Amino acid sequence: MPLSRFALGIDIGGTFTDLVLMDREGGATHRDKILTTPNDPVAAVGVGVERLLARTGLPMCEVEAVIHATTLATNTIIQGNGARIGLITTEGFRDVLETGREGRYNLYDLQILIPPPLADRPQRITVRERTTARGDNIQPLAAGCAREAARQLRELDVEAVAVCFLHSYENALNEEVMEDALLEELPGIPVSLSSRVLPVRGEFVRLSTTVINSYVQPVVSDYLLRFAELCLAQGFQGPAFIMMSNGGMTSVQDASAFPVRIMESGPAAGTIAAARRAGDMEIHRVISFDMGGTTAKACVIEDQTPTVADHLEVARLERFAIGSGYPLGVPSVNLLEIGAGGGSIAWVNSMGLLQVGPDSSGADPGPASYGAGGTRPTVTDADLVLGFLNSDYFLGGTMKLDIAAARNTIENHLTGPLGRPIQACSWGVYDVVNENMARAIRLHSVEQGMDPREFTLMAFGGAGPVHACAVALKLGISRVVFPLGAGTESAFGLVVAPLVVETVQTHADLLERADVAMATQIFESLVERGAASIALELSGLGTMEIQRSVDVRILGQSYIMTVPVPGGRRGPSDMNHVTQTFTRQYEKLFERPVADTPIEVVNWRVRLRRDPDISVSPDDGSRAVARSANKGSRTIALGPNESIDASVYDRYSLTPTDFIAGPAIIEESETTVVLPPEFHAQLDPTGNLVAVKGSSPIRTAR
Amino acid sequence: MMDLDGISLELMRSRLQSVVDEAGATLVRTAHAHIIREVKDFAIALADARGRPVVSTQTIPVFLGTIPATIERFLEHFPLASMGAGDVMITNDPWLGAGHLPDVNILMPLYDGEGVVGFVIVVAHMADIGGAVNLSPHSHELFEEGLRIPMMKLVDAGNRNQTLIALVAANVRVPTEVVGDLDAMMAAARVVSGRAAVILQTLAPNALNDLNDDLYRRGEAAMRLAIHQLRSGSYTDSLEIEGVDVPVTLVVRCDVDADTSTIIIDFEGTSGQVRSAINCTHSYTLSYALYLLKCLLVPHLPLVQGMFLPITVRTPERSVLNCSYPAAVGARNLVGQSSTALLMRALAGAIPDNAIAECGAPRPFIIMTGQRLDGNPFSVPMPVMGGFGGRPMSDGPSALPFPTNTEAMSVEVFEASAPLLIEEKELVCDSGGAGRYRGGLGQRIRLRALIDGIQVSIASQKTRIPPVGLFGGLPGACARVAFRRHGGEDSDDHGVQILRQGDEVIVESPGGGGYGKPRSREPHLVARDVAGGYVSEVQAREIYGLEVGAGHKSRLSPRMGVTAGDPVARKASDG
Repeated sequence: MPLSRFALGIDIGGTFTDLVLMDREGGATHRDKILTTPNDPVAAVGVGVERLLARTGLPMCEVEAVIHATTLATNTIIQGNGARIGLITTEGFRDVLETGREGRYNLYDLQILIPPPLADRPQRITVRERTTARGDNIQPLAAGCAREAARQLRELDVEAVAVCFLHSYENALNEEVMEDALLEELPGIPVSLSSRVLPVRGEFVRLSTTVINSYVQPVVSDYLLRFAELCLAQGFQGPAFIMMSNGGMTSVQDASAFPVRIMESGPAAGTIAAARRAGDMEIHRVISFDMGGTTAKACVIEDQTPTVADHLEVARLERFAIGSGYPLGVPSVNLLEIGAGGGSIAWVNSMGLLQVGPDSSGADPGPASYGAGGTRPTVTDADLVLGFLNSDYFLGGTMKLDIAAARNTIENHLTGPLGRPIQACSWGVYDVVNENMARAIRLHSVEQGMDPREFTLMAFGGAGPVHACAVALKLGISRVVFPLGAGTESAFGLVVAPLVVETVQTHADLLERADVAMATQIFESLVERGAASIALELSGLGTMEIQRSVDVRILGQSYIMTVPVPGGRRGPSDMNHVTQTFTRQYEKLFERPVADTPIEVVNWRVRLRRDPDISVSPDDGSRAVARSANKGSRTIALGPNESIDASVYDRYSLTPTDFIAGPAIIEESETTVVLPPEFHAQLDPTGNLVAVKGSSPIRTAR
Repeated sequence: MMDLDGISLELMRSRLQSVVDEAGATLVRTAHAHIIREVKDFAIALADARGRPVVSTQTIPVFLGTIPATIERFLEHFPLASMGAGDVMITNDPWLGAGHLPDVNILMPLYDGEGVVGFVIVVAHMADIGGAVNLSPHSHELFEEGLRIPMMKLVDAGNRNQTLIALVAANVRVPTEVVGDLDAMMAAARVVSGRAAVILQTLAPNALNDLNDDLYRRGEAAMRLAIHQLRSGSYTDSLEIEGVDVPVTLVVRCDVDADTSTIIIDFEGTSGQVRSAINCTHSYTLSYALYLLKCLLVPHLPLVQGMFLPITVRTPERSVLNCSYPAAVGARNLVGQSSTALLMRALAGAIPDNAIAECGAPRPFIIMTGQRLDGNPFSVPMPVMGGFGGRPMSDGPSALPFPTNTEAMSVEVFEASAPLLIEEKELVCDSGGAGRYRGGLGQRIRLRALIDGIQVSIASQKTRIPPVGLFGGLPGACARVAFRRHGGEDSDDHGVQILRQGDEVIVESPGGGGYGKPRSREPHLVARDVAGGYVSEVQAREIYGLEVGAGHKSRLSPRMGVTAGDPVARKASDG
């Protein structure tokens, strides 16, 4: 993909479809936002694109790249309206999809529910075939059996078929025989082979991933086809790309074949945007913190790269309980999701302890102060009572908040059981939800071996800036950044994203046997697969950086570590280096030497990457700055009992010479920055508001 | 006394919970043993200066009752004057600790300028502790089960006890892992002591005790409130366990008093301890009893020890639920898990809206050991989960463990580690106990040896006495362990067998019991079960009283359900 001049990012979210058009040479951006049309998401895209192009005067044929993110795949699972699928597995293994992990995600709940299998038992059929863990095909799949199985599925009127045989990651022959039969007997029905979707050891996760791929495929591929047609109809001539969950990009064709890779495309784009902003500010270690209506999300970003996990879970039955959803073995930005948002409900449990969330009033009816029927106290209601929100300037004044309703609900539900006055209870809600978020973020960092105190917090979302400084204080973080125009952040992430493609393959062997020749062969096929996925000619690889790595472990142990393999453009240069790196990292982590046991290499990974060369300039939404930024003052709470008169500023009128000492409030149309007494803040040259703990003025944010 | 309201107390509790969770993450990240890393067989707690736990990790249930007792024993053995900063105490004595030798407990006192302000306890299951066969139910005495470490200092004023460490290393099969994991446990304890010190600095002296007093009071009040809603009465029941050489009987009487809001659980009448390794220590029995009561009465509250104050658990001395030294205890879970089934059954009448039918537990557990053709040794476990019991509002899920909570062993990972082929892993038709809400199905696992000389150790129960149903529900299917070789088949429920190439092992886990009368089950659910092969047409006809025809079966998908006018009809209904 050429990194062309004009790039258009389109992010379809649950409520809004966001668009960002960027001139990558000058760095200027144009943004727009339009209500999502859930029944026909392409409709909003069409209207939005036309409107944005009309505003900028740029014809669509000048746009050279379209990058797209969508929640469609995830929503299809959550709403349960995916395809009626057939599943074919190895004889004797009909129920792996249903029994799953065979563990309870909630230790105390006797009425626990487990995620229902997406292919019911009558739709799960088995065939006689077998491959061993070493990849030996000891029971070839007979063509006749394969055809018989395909006919059986035809009787069941399936709309898509998933095939997952044991150890197919080592030898895909039997799955391919099955595919041939399916293509013959069920023409036009899409087939997902586990050896292509996720050629990695571990039958349940590979199966779950393949089944989800199959389940969402007809819906997603149909949608993507129409999306591509729309782009074409608008006069677009360049390539369209789809953001993947890991922050990489892929072609429309690849996303249609492997929709499971684009599940978290919107949130991934959001972290890319945060990473890009951090890079522009030359901040190396950032935790992005995005707090919205029902959830808060956090991601650790190092050196402009969001951390990536090798798995993901979707459609959880208990939203924040790990293990209550469908596991997907696809790399995904390592996003922490916390049950804490503006709509999170505050309540008192039977021990008399104040709890916040995880239940949420959602957008409808929403917090009591929305006046739309919500009766239970929420975080937003508490924020309003504490003076953090402006009842006349919520969403830029387009919505009025009812402060009396907020006070009433807190009085009705909290002051009695807690025995404290309204302000103390409201402050309690604010403090408890902040503590919950800080606790989750700290644990998330520690699990990755990182210390949150060394990071900068970057706040997004409607409620993020209201809570960010307080969360930072709890985490021992001393700098918080508030980007401007955070409302279309994911779409912005799309146009500044680097081109990244990742491929993985299990091929287990002892490390001492894995020489350069073997490594070269495996890595080459992975590079080819990666290039093919973005329709890149191999000659075009010259502009891509190639990163190779292997997952290794001590034979017989479960702990797996990913270790880079040195090498150049042509291939890996040295496998001995892997042993040395592994030994060093292992000793650092465990504080003890590696036992005298052979090391095994399990998975092989390739990552192709190219960074865009863009300098971002301030937004086109340059609103008038001629008036004074100080809008007056209002009373805000400083604690359960204390209040103070704090200055209120207009974010859009601030200039880099303005110095704001906390306590203060900075209002913008989509959110409010709450600056506690411990912080002071200033704009940086690109328009980000930077808050630093301490009282001395800051000159530059470093 | 601090003046704590429900806001500041929750904030402090949350902060301290974060500390133990963080230590748990550190242990999981740095431990060697699969059973710590993946099965999460460990617990970490922060206790106040009196030794009462304040917060603990929410990992597995068996340490609920042992941790408070273990700290008490430590403090009896080491008076405060005998310990100092930089000390770490250790024991794995089953009666002082967590009920069997692999669970090693360490205790670290926390100091401020004045003196002890609290304690950290870490208990974790070691990869090995020596002895005849790891966790074998066949030992007759404790001495066969491995190394016993009496209470002693593992670290004395910052100096590691090298004598002890050398002894441990010399007595276990995987010394690097075990010694490494002792280090990992101490690292986790240091995380708690470091982070807790920062928090406690901001509080008044004695604040942890005061805060814990308050938490105890509130936990106790919440539990009393829950007990107050129950039907008073004396609930008795008994349960027979197959055991290893001789069967044993567990007997319980639960006196529920809604007026005083107390429950007294007395296992008087239970069989005496036996000469196999299924004996439980009192605190282990206590753990499972308290765990079950939390599940039944206050499942959604955060765990605080005070909630157990209204509950008394009595076990007769020298019984299989309160054994004396030197009884063998390695496979204590075989009896302990059944004690929760008994208690659930006894209390079902008092708590009908949350009690469930008996689960297919203990699940059969087999361990394969031997040497691969490349010379490397292997030892791979294969738990075979049973079905969950039927419930007041829903069927029991299939292949879901209770009360323990371990996860499935991956077939592909298993085969990559051990020279066996798993030929089958599937649910067993008709194994779920019939009922208005059906018990979950058990599963069948069939393995074939690819080389000679593979040792299989088996621990299974429920092969003759099935998990029973509740409120008219029928029992689930029994467990089964069979060996197929030289054309014949024989069974062995808890032995050690040697496989030759081509020999097969078949293990079936028990199904969950049903809840409510089968004939009151919704016909469309029976039809769905028949269509999916969960229930046979025969069982549908004979037990559910429903004729589900083959024509119906072929076109019915569970997702579609049954529409009005379906050819599913109950001929004779007796409700």
